[in-house]
Amino acid sequence: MKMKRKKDTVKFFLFISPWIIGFLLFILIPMGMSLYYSFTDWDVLTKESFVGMANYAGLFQDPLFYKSLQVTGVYTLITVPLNVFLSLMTAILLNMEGRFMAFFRTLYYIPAVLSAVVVAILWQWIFNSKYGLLNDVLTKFGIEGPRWLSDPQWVMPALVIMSIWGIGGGIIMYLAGLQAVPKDLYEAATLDGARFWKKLFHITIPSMSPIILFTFLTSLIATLQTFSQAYIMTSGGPNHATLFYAYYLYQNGVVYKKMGKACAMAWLFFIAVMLLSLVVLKVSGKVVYYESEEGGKLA
Amino acid sequence: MRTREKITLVFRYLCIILFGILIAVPFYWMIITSLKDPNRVFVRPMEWFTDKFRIENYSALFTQYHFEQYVFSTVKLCLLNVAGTVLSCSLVAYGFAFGRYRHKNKIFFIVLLTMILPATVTFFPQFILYTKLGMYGTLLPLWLPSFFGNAYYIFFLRQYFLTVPKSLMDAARIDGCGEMKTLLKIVVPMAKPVYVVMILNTFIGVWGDFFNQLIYITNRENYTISIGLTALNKSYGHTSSIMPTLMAGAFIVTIPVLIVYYFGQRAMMNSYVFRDTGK
Repeated sequence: MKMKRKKDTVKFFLFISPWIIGFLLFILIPMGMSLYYSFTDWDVLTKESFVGMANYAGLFQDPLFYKSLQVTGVYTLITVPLNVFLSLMTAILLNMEGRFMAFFRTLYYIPAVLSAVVVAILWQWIFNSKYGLLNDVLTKFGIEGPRWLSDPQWVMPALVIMSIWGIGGGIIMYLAGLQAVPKDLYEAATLDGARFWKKLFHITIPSMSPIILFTFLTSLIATLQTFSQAYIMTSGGPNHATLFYAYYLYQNGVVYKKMGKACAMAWLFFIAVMLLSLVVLKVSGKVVYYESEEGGKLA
Repeated sequence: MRTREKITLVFRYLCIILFGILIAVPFYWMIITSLKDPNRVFVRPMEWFTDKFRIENYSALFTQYHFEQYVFSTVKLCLLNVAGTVLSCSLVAYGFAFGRYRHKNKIFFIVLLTMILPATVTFFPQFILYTKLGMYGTLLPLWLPSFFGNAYYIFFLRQYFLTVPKSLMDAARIDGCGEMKTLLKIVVPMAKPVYVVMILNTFIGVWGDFFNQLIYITNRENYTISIGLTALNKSYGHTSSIMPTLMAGAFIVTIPVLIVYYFGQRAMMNSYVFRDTGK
């Protein structure tokens, strides 16, 4: 019997060995290495020298570091709640059977899954202040459009508009969730004379809350890592108005070859995201409603 | 009551169509720009139509800008990643679903934890590792990791595997099927919907990836469409002569995504219906 147990254990580890190797090789070892390098001064080419906490201390005296925090924070605070809400509303709107619904669902969904490069290049063209689509349409309404991407005041609103185009991201998941909401709840509510908003806040949102939490958390983490817009459309400008954290991190590591600083930034980001996720899960634990007590239905 | 329902329905359709148009206009703008004469692109007021469909903007991508190379290396990366993901995730998920080990669920919890690990965090560390291993400058960093499992798909597959009836698994064992045979003959066929979604998503993910490719692709022969398009965009700036070709490239990149999501949406939706596994 003991032999059998041992054999089972070996078998189990054989099956999961790809993941174990990957975990060690691509996560644990690199993370450890980067923790070490975050305490050094290293330009990739020559040997590193140990500098203690200097990279971390330097970051907190770097005005651009604060700028990148501010840019990322503002963008995240605006777009994440907006996108989660609009995405849910869109899914509710699209949650019906009909001839053209597959077409419309695809249409609404595509902007969210389109290659980031295509989205960035297309919108750079739309925001073109002289010949772009947006300002041309605005002119028709007698509005002189701003110089979107080259105006520090307008570049952030421009990126927010662009992100709204991609709100369909959560809808496949929401649609799946909506179909799992018990129909009799709605029928009972209708008999009681409840209107749309009442049903939304008392039935739909509570029963969808695990999915909403999941999309909120994933879109939060994804938005904090905004990169391609800054790289392709604005190069972090104008006047650092789009110096996103991930972009500044990339600049430090790849462009300025300050690996130590980049590693320190990555570690600070890691700690911040872990804390944030913890807070979100803690807060949501009081709000989110799980149908079964284990809550394991949520990814 | 019936008329009210009808009014609501009409209103709903109107909303769907109106927002649909708003979402579609940028696409239309991309396509129409890609078909225009370069001299008719920078004009005010803008022209919503073109006199002639200039397909030569598309052929220019291949004759002048080596787009066929970009497509080739992108597809190569996509296929390698799909193969790696399917292979490794199947094995690992099978292990977590049916393996017998005391601390199995504790280890699985670590898998779940890595799901929320942001790519930005592991990215530079991995870059350092690849540099040390001499893989920087090759394509290896862009596909090798897929052969070591992806937490997200391991999770989804495991959840699905757990729904395979125990009687079926027992029957296979009585028939003398080994673990590998059980996996291939019984478990994988039953989880087909997840595989469809996994393959499509992996393909589209690599097809549209930018950040990783930007870092690891250093020479032109390896350029993918993301990198090729970005280079085209940066080197020519937004001048009118390149704009139709640029939009043509953007549209070509969009086509597979359109096809995948139009035909795959039912499968995707079904895979998200969270199953009660009674774990």
